[in-house]
Amino acid sequence: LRNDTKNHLCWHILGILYRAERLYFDAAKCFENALSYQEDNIQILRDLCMMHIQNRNYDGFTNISRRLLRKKPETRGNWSSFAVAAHLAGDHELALKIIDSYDDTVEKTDKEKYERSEILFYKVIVIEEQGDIKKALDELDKYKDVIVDKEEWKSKRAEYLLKLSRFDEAAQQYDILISGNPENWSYFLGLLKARQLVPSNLTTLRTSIDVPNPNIEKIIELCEELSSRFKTSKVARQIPLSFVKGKTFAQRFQEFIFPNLTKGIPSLFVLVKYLYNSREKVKIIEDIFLEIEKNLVTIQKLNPLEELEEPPSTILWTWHYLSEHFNFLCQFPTALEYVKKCQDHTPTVLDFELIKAKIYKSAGDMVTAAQCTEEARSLDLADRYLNTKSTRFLLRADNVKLAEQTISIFTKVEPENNTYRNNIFDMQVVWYEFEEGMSWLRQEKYGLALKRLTDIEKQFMDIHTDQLEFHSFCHRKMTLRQYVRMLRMEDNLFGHQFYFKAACQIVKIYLHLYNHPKEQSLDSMDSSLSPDERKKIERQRKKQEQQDKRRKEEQQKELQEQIKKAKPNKPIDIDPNGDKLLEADPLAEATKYLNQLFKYSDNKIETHLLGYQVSLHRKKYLLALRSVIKAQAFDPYNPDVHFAVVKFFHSADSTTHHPTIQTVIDLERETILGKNTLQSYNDNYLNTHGQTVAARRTYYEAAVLLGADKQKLLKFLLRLDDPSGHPLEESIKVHKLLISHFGSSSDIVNDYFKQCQKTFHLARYYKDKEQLDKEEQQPNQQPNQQPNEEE
Amino acid sequence: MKKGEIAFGDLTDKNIKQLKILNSVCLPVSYHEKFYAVLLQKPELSKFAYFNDIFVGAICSRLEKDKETGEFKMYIMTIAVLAPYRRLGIGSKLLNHVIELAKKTPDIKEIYLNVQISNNVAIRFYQKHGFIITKEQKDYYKKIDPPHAYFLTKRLVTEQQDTTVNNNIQV
Repeated sequence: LRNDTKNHLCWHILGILYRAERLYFDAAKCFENALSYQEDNIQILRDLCMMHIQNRNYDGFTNISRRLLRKKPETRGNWSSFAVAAHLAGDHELALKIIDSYDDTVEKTDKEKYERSEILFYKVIVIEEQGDIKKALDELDKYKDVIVDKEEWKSKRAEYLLKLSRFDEAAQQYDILISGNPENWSYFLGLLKARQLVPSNLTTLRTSIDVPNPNIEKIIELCEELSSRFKTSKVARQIPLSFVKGKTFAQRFQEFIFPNLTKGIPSLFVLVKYLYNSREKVKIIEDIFLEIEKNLVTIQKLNPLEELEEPPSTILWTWHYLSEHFNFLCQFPTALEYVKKCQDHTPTVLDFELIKAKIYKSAGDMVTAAQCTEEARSLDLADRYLNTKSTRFLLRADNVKLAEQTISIFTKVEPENNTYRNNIFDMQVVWYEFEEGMSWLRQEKYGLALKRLTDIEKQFMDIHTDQLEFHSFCHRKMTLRQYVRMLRMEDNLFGHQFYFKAACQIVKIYLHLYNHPKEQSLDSMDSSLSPDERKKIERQRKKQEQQDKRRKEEQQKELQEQIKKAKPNKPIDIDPNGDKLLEADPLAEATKYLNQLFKYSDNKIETHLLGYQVSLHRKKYLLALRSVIKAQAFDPYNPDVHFAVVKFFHSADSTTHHPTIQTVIDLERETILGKNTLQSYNDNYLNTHGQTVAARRTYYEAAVLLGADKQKLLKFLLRLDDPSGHPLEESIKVHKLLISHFGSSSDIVNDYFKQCQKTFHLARYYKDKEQLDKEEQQPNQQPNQQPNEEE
Repeated sequence: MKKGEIAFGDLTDKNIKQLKILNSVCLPVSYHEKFYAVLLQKPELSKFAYFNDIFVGAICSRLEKDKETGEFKMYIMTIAVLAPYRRLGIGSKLLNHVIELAKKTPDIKEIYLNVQISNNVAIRFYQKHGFIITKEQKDYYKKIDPPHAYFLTKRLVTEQQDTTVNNNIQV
């Protein structure tokens, strides 16, 4: 290129090279340059077109597609790309004109019917997005015979009728849909909305809903009618449960439960869990089940009025449901009792090990829970679900090595690959990477944790790149509805839950690294240690450092060898332990990920709770203020939000600002704190919202920040009552806080530990060290090893 | 009583632990790992029984060649059904399955098994299926009381039907 800047071929190839490196903006510029030197080259036009849509440059995309279409009107794909371009650029009228002229010119043969159907359906969607639902409905009806996707056609028609408030027709349409699929919850929801029996903004039927009584009767009538028309429909029978209350609920719930118990469904609890947001219903359900248990044990029937006796399996699933029920209510000993009954009755069913694992998980003992899932898995080694469940629990129990062995049973194993011994990364198994990252985080191996979490980011980048192939493909195939949906999904890709969770953790790790840099001076250590103990710890630290250094040198040698042996297209990971990630500037990295979070997950409170901390460290007070305000708007009485407010204004008060910034801060201070000082604001919070352990801990931390005396505040911190039921994690946070403020050998800490031990007596964190050591020495419970009799 | 569904399944190396649990809970005698390894070599000689999709019972057998007569016998090593699921016909179905299997193989002339002499329920059960007590062996069992056992046998062919068909049976 340096030799001949006007050569269009060189620019074109440079653009292709940039594209291969995923530098799409540069590629687009190169293609534009190439185009300016040779205006009519089809290939350059096509490549530039693709780059524009990849960069979401809608105006560029429209212009280039228009040119392409003028040049080659016989290529189908050019019409669709122009139509999509006009649509996405906002010019719906133009898009409609294009589709109409395309449809006029094209031959209506049988071979092309799918493509024609798709583009006409797309036209309807464009009209819908324009806002004219009536016109969309008319077009939909006009193309009834042309559109091949009949189910979607019916669905859309019903949706439009509902939006236009043409309720009778909508009800008819939903009735037809239900006849086709009587198990689809959304069709029933649509029907109820069409009959105007539920509010029109209701999103789901699987929750306890409040509607006026006459509506309830009509709903019951409707569901009865549908149940008799569709005898196998489970949904029709289940819907009334969301609406009825009291005695009617008890009766209907019982009718619903009986056949399911006889049949024996392990997932029965999960099926009705959505009803548990109503306390009244929870009590009724508990009474019903305890009654059933009593009946089965005494007369082998579900109910004295039942004619036939139950098979022996029914009591099993009753007990199983009860154990899930009590687990949900955090009554762990009762739940475990029921599991024991199940296992004594029929020890061969692995579902009981799974529910036992669930109970131990909720109670805070992941190691025992992982043992249970392993036991369940060993009963059916061919079951992939059990394999993944067991792997996940092993990762939560911080046994990464065994987890990797377990998941490798179902993956392809490559022993030469240094980091990814199995193809987890290639298969984009994000849950595994996240859980492994979290496990390393709990073990304080920050390098490895960062490595896994950034792997997740790499995979999202891959997904973002994947759309490149689809631009030309979808234009050709005319599947434009799905294409536009895909584009919109990609637009919001980094707002996806998986990425959000990973990015939050990465920011947290870098914040921690910023606050606790590697060199820990002796002063920062526990002040209660004697000089001998300090020397011992220092010696141990030096020894550990030497070991680490030796290990690193060995690894480097191994790495060099692997790089020599590496196959050409399989890149060797040069940073298998994430050390380079550890050495990066924590604040800069945190900011990088935080910006992604602000861009795509601005409406989540976590983003802002992390955001204000990073911004404060960077001394960007207005940014921090923005985060604090947003967090407050989402959840004003959240303990972490309260702490954020106090911390922000405390930091802001202790520095001098530019006068404009100071004015803004003062204005907001008035809005949020009113006339209160920070102390009184904190005290008010305790009085109005101090019922939970988390709230009281926040009050304590805020008060300490403002300079109050720790001893005086202890009485708030040490209380364990909490209406939310099982504040195990919060109590652990309090315990760690107490250690850092009062030292690990203080009486306060030990008393609190003992108190928590009694309250959370299954939790592993609160078990005595001697008890844990004893457990490790004893091998796992072996089945009764009677001496062998086999001849 | 409401009817439950009884179904059959096969033994595999992936679900063998369920069988181990069943045997350890139901039977007074415990079996070595080698026992289960041998079972896996000929999984078609074992059968699992499911009640409403719950694994509740199993039967395990093996083939033996009598050294004197040269004829093949089927020996039933274990048959067990979990206690809450007895008297529902599951045991009978398992036993019948094995008997049918033996009948279909022309070289198998008889089926036999051992029962503790005090186990009257079991003895009656086998007698109902056409087994007869052929002999008693003292001190057959080593660690349970009474240690004596009966041999129960069921002949599958009469002497007339005993045509020698060469079948590939490997014992």
